[in-house]
Amino acid sequence: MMRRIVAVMRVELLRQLTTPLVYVMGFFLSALSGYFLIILSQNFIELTLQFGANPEAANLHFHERIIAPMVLNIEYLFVVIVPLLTMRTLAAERAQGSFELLAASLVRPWELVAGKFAALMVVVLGLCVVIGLEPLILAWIAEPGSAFDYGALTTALLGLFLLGSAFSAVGLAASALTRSPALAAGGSFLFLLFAWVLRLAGRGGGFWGELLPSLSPLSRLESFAIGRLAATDIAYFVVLIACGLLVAQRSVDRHRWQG
Amino acid sequence: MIRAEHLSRSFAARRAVHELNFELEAGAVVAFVGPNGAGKTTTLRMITGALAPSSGRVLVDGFDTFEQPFEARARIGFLPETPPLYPELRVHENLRFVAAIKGVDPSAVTAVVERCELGDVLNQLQHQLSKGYRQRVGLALALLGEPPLLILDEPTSGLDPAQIEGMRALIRSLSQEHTVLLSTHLLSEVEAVCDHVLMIDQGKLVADAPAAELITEHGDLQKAFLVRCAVHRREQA
Repeated sequence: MMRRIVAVMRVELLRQLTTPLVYVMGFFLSALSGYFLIILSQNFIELTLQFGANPEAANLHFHERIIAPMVLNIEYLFVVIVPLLTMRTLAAERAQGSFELLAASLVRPWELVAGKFAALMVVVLGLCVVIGLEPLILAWIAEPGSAFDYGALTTALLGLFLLGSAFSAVGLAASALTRSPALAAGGSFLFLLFAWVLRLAGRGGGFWGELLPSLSPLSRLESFAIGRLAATDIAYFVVLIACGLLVAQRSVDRHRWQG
Repeated sequence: MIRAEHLSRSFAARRAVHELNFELEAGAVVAFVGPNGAGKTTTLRMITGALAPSSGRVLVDGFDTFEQPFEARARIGFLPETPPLYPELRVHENLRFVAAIKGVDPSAVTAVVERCELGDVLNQLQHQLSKGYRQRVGLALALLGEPPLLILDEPTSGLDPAQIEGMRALIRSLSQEHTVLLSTHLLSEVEAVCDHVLMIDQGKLVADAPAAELITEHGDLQKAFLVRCAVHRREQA
């Protein structure tokens, strides 16, 4: 069982890494997170200069002023990037005929989905490492003894990894539902756009203004971003991932009925 | 080796295969013949368990391909009409992947590479391969694990005459150790490699007989095919 999952994961990783898309995405993310970091750092320096000797300056938290907003900006990039990474996973297999090999093989539908998802998690992890490198470089060049919160950075990156994994599960489900990679990308992008709209609904206030944002995966990243680990947020991502994988597994199995 | 019982499959309102009943003995080389759209590929996909029948069942070595798909699939090597290769992977990577998902020792790859004469193309990508080599790689994937039943869907489709002859020689050599079910619409191929014929037309079986018997009865396989199809269509009308 594990051997088949690992084999599927390995091939999916090879497929991802032999196309330029993942490298372009990595470069794009690295460039933009670097840009966010520079802008936010400049703002932070200006603020500390403005406050000067004012005791309020002690409340200017480096992580909350720089790292957290950077991570929260990157989540919007994930809305665009992850559907592009996931679109080919199953849809292209059907379009190019290799799905036939898997359908007539000993690979169970859930093993296929698990292997594909594991490969996507490795890619998302790689992207999170790329994003995490720049704050670490900033910490390295900062003055010795400056209070850089490594724990909070790790938590923020963990949140980003969970968000990327959840988006991957949604993208995998979309890719399982069609044989067109473009449609799969469009479908998962629309879903993630809907998540964005749910978050915006919070601006209205009232009952719905409280409920709707809590349903959005984007809102769940906020506590991770400021370095706070909440069991409910982790549980939310786990449930979203499980739902995505279940839809993908059912859809793969359904092909046997529908042809 | 294969027993089909009242096997039917419909796609929406279209009936692709209707009430197929046949039984194939182990060790035979059987041709599955029919015009384009007759239901050959649909039937083969049901035998491999890749497609569920609307009704009826197929047993492979006693295992129901739908109820016990993994037991049945472990006994089948399948070459679809388009060889199922990953375009991003090299030939040896495709072979190693299929060996892994079949639970076969990686050393088995060497044996099929020798048998299908793929030594020169192991590091090539799919688009760098000729059509003939693509078919050979597809056949090598089907052979991994030495399954007792080989199902080949149009294995010589699109090949030039020299490649066709090479593929036929390979299939003949395989018939000593495997039961082979070969789908084709080329009757010359049937005469060259098969000893039993299943003919299908409009989703219904119109002949299930040894090739020699059909040739004796009708003169040649083409006449046999035309007569059987004409009779079937007259009955349907």
